[in-house]
Amino acid sequence: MQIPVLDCTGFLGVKQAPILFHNSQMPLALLRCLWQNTNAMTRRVRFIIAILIGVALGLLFGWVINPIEYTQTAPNTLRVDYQTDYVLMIAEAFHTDGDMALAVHRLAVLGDKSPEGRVLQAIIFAEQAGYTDADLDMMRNLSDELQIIQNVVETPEP
Amino acid sequence: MNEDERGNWYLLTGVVLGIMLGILFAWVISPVEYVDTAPESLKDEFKDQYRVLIASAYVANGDLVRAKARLELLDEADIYLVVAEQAQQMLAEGGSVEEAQALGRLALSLGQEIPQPKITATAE
Repeated sequence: MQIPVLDCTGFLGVKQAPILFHNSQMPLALLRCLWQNTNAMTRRVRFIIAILIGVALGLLFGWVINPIEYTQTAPNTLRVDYQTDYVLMIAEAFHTDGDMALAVHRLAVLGDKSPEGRVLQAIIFAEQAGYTDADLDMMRNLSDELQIIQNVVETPEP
Repeated sequence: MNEDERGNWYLLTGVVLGIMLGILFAWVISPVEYVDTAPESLKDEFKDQYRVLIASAYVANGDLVRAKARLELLDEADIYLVVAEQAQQMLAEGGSVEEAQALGRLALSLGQEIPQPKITATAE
């Protein structure tokens, strides 16, 4: 029967004695191989490897296990469905009070995008998400009114 | 001193140093960015604005179920109390009367939904 041989020559080119092992002992043979290579390295290389392992552990802790949690966010970071509902609420309020200045002021907290852009984005999402016709109509009404105002502002006086 | 005599504590030093560098990178230099947040994580002043908007929308559509569902997104223990307090605070601080009234109307509707304790007369 042929016994498999593991060549333990390391990545630094350090020649190691080959390890003979049975198939069932493959993991142990690999560990032994790694240990032999580690022992053959200089202290500086081992120190750098230890730092890299530490960095990996630190990133795992900082990004996965215990990432920074933001609890003081602004509406512009809201998920798109929440932003759409936010726009819908503005449209609902505008439907009753007709206060365009207030609606624009409220839309401003959703980010740098223009008010028309925000409302259009919300309408697109609402259409895809299957909002009711009544909700869509209210958002479209707000969008139309914003467009009218935009056109008035852009049209130069004769 | 011989290498073997110096021991392996430097490896632990390396790991600890690495962990510190890793955490510094993960928390300060390149922290996880939250871009898809929920209303519950909003700053207090934005939560106040959110409640005003919910109340204004409620005044427009009269849909209390929807208003309650929206308020629950803010993850507060007693939504009635929070809305009522905000309405009072807004009036006290000279804020918008319309918005305070909207909050007041919503608080009133929410209050009417709270089950009242039943008082039953017992026969002597």
